[in-house]
Amino acid sequence: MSKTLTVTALLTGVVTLGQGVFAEVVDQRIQVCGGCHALGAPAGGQGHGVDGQVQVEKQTIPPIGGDPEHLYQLMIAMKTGQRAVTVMDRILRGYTDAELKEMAQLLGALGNSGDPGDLGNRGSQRSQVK
Amino acid sequence: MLSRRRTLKGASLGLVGLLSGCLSGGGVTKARVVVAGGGFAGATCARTLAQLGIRVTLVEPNPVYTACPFSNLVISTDRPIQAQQFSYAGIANAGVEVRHARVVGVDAQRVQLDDGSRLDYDRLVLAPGIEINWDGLPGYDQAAAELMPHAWQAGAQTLLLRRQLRAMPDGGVVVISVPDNPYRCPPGPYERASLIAHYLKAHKPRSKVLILDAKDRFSKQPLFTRAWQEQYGQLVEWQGRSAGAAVVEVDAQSGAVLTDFETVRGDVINVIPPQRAGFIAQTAGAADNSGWCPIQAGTFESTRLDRVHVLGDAAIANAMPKSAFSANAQAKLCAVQVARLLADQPPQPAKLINTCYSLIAPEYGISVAGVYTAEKNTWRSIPGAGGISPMLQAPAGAPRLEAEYARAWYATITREVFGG
Ligand SMILES: Cc1cc2nc3c(=O)[nH]c(=O)nc-3n(C[C@H](O)[C@H](O)[C@H](O)COP(=O)(O)OP(=O)(O)OC[C@H]3O[C@@H](n4cnc5c(N)ncnc54)[C@H](O)[C@@H]3O)c2cc1C
Repeated sequence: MSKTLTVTALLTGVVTLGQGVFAEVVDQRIQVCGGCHALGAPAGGQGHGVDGQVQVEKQTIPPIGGDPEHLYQLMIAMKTGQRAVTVMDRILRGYTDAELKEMAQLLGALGNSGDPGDLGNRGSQRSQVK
Repeated sequence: MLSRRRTLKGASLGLVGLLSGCLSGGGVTKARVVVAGGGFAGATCARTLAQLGIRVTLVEPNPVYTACPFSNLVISTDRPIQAQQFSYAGIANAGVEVRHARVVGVDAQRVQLDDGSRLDYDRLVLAPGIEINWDGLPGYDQAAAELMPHAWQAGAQTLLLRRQLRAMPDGGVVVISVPDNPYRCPPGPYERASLIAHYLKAHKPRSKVLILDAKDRFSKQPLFTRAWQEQYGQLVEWQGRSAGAAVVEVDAQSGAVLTDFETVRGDVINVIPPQRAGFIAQTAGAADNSGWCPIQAGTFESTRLDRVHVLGDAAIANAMPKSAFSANAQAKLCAVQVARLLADQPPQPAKLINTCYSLIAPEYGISVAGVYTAEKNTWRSIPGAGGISPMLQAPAGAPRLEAEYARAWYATITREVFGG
């Protein structure tokens, strides 16, 4: 009984980002973004090798987050090809605009401010990542 | 102990930790999930389950995981094997109980480990990756693999292939035998051919890579074909099934592979053999006659075993390729579904993504992407989305950028899965 209650509370937390409650697991609709863009932590960064050896790799894929409206506009620009990208156009075409709006809200709530990478503005990428 | 860590970590991220609250309040769920296999699928799933506050035990025999993505760069002498290796310390720190043992038996309540102990489970996640199907290619057995490495499970095999490549005289022939679908990492053999050609071009330019394929079409084919021509000319030759190139038998002692038409000799022979879901999936009965494990798409629950989920390479995820990216994406979603099912809540739908980079050379990358939805119990590719890097009108600098993104992807995913 208590097991069910606890997990239920927890799962409610997972999906009610809008109420200012954040469990450490992100909503399943945006989990997959974390395959390339670290969510809630800097991307690229470091991997921990064996024997405490730390591998440092160049960071080129920024974290995503920031103002949901800005994020949404950015995604639409990439989806429609207005903004030159390598792969995000192909991925974003798999989502409806309504889904992207929702995802932008969820991503924005993660607290990063970041700008998904593109070919045009690479120089400014870093400075946009706080 | 654990709750303290989590509370602090949550606080340091500026997050209000409802989850941490639950844990420190002592109301941790009693349910236990056992995850068999600590690769991209299992390790991700165990970690996400721990984040969800679920008691989870990860069973993995190896103290060190050796990742396959980027291991082709190890073969081409461009990368140390250590860059592929990860300990399980970060996963243990994340609140997962890690047991270094092998799961050797599964029943409806518990798993049997090779150290003699048993673990009870409420839900079990099987993520054993692949095993080589030693019955799949006549002449190719464990002894043959010491002469003709597959290097399709990274580690000693990867280093063996690299040694052979280094020892090969200039003017030698490297034969790569590629199996029919499905197998782990569809574009992997062609990335390997590219990077071996990259090595040969610099060190043994009179040599050659000959790909003998059991298929007529392969992943990212137009991109590979064009890049081979541009970068390597005569150095890479591909022959497909309809040219009679499928390898049907190997003779490891004499260093030859046999197709239906001829005997092909090589100075280095890399046999990528037929594969199937890891042995425990077979023993447990999760695999069907195909050798792979059918699942209910939305939850990854086995269609054959109750309360058992199958992830990653071992699972039949339909349009989703067997990749580390897919394994990681599936695992995160599966963890949420397992948590929901334990709480008697309905599973949540979600789309998944795959992006696989391949390197033609260390600074030349290409990619294939897909977006997937679980419809009618099948992972389907969403039409109009995904596909390969553009052949025409590719933005200038895209190949170099894709190589950079490939490296950044590897750094991010390995950090997400094994870091901390
Ligand atoms: C050369 C090469 C290049 C690749 N490049 C890429 C790439 O660029 N991008 C990409 O996305 N993918 C790539 N892949 C594919 C990727 O490596 C696999 O898809 C991925 O490893 C699958 O993850 P998994 O967790 O299912 O299996 P694995 O990573 O194989 O993990 C399975 C784990 O289960 C353990 N295990 C097995 N049996 C048991 C048992 N009975 N009990 C307990 N534990 C057990 C094993 O020890 C292992 O650690 C590549 C593969 C190869 C071979």
